[in-house]
Amino acid sequence: MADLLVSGIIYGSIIALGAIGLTLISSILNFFNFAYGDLFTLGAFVTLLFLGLFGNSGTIAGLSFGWGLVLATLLSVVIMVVVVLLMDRLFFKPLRDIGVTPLFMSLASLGLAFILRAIINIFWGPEVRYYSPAIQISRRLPLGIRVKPDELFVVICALVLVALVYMFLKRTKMGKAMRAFSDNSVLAKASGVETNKVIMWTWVIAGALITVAGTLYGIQVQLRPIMGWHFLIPLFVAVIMGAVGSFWGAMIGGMVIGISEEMITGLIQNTFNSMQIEADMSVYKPAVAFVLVVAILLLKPHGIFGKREP
Amino acid sequence: MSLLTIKKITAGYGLQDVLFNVSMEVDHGEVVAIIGPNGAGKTTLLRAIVGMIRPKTGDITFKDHPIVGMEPEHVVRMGLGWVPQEENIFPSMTVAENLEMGAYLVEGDLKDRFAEVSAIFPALRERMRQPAGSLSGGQRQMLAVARGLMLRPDLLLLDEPTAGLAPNLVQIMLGRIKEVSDRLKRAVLLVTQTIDALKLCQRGYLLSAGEIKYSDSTENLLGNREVRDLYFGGSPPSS
Amino acid sequence: MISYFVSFLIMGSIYAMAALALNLQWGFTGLMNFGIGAFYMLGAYTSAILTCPATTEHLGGFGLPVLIGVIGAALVCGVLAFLIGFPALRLRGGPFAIALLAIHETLLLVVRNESWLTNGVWGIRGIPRPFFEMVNPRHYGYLYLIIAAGLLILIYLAIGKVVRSPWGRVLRGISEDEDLTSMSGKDCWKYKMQSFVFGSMVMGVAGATYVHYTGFVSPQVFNPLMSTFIVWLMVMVGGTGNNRGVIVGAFLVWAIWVGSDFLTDFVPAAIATRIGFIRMLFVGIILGVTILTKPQGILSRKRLTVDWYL
Repeated sequence: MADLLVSGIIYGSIIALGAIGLTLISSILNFFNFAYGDLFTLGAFVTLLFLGLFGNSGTIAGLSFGWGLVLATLLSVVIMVVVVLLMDRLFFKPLRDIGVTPLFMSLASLGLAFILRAIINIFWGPEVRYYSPAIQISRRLPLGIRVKPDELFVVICALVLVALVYMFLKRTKMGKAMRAFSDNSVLAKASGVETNKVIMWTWVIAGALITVAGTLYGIQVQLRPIMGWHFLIPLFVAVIMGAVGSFWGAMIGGMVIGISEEMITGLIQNTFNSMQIEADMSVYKPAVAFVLVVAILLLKPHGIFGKREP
Repeated sequence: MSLLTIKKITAGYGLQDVLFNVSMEVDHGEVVAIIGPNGAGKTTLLRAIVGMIRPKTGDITFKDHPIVGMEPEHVVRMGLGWVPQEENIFPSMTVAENLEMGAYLVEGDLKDRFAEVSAIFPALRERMRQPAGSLSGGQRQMLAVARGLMLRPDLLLLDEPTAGLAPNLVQIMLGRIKEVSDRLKRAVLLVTQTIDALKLCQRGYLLSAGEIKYSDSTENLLGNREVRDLYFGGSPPSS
Repeated sequence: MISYFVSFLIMGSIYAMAALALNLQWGFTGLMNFGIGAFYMLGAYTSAILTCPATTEHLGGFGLPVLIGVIGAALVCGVLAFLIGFPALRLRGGPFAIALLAIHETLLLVVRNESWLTNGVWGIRGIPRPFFEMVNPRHYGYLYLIIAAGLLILIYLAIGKVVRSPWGRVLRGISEDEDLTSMSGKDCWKYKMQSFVFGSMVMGVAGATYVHYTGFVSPQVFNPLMSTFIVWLMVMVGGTGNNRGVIVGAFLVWAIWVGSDFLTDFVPAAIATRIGFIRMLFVGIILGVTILTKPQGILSRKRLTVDWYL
């Protein structure tokens, strides 16, 4: 039970990291970007690419990877930010300028998702990859929790990044401009906030976060071309549950989804195992997400942190 | 030289035109009213001035610069403030942050402006850290206007600032607006449907079905029987 | 050559049915259904299971006539749509799309994993073809084309009639402005449910038509690209809300997809294994360019643009 909670927290922090970027994009750019999942995948694979260049030499303090991966991730972030900015400039901005509906933007992003996945499959192939062959042994923490050093790193890294983004949004002028724009874009423009700058920063933050999220997932689990597409559902559910545009909503929504998916499917699995029924319940995680989002929205139609109507 | 000059603009949404050949002027330090029935196009006019809508024909000049076609974020930079009637605050941000956003374009310290605005709307002083979305209707209106004042705009466009306020709050709000004009010497273009607000102004334009039907001083407008009957329910003006 | 063309027409007709169903849900009712593949797949498997001869590989062996299979497919899809509709139709726009996407993913996982039901990834073989014994096998394609085209015409007429009726007018009201329509006293929820169920049933029929042509079904066919996204493309290319346009769009998009098959023949053998993805990429780019240059679709009557940020 505690193990499930722990793995739920780990999984949840990765989702939360991705969800924060997605909630910013959804509220500031006003559409649901279905290519976000494949950016998750691409981020992880670009890190793999750079890792291949630097080599996986040595490890840091019991983790399965060394400074090579850290450097590779940083470079991956830079590249991915460029990629998403180009994506906006070449694809989404022209659509905005034409004035297409948000639904159309979502549909177009769905098409982009397939294109990205095709590219990933073409360059890297469908095989499962890992950043490092090292196998980790769980350490024992108080309260009988067993956790691997990598897992601890994932959670801490995610939380640190979340804190950084929070600081940015809360304290800096651009951060406040972004929050204002997300709240009321018309009034923000009438306050002198430049739309283009806000959009640019949104992509920068979202691109960076999703790249790290993908890399963390790669460290924690594995890399497969389809991984991001499967992540799309928990990411969106976290955003919607927490209320589109809400930082805390994405954070909490992500943790709730992560923990629920792990615990619910895990508990059912354990029950089945003890009853000697053969079934793989982990595949039903999307169903858990579906039930959760419907339940929450029935109670709070605008999401947990949904804005009160003015 | 006029602060704001609007010459024969026609504007609307999509294929639907709402304003037809509208012209008007506002001078430095003036308080001018736009009155008229619902659906006349008053809000559309303000939106066209600030740049949310692009007029199809005509010119708008602010401080001798043509501003038709400029994005709102650039028009505002020139010293033009706008307080919409609805959705006029940032609900998830605190009162203080809302005011900060009002002064987004300002470099440097905002203490003076905060003081200025708090003096005009003391109710906001104790609520600086409260999320704007949790304010009452009246407080929200005050915050909306305060936000508009933070920029110290040379011209402030106010869209029905007293709409939906309880009567005592209406008087307070009008008093504050008067202060803004008298003490701070800013120009105000005020969209309103109430006589009391009209009385704050030196003159006004009557907009109906997208056209300017009358343009005159406030006394003459209030003295005009037709105007009174049609747009103010025929109540006699109190002197 | 001719048989290739006949096959193209049959598949085009099947996709056209699905496109008409989506057009009813999206074009006329405003439901952003990103999970239509779920019903397409459900109809296919239901009909397969009902009509297949007895076998140990999976549930089935009812050996019922094809017609019963098709009707069964429609009914099962209708029931599932009804059940899902209860929670899902409370959602709007983006959240609704994601909920349906989650349904599709879940259903795909069920089909893949519950081998006792569906024979998992190995699929179901030997699905009976209607009237197969009556005709020379070489000419069977023509017969099936008549069947498929006939069904398509029936569906087109049925939907057309329904859409021009008072019921259809309410649907259109809902898609234009749901709040306004409900204020005029219409129970929007009921209409949305009816449209959702009816559309899903038609998709089930399309799925059934598919399996009785190929004689074989497996989960691979029903990945989101080929069963959901491509249908959306057909509707957008053909023109949202225009039934004739949607049929044209279906054949056009299918032609591009099939045509790209020929082009990948010219791809060097070294990357031949990745052909599927290269094709996806190629088609994705062509369609991306189409979207950027002609966002309204070819025969659209619907206004697709909106004032951005207003």
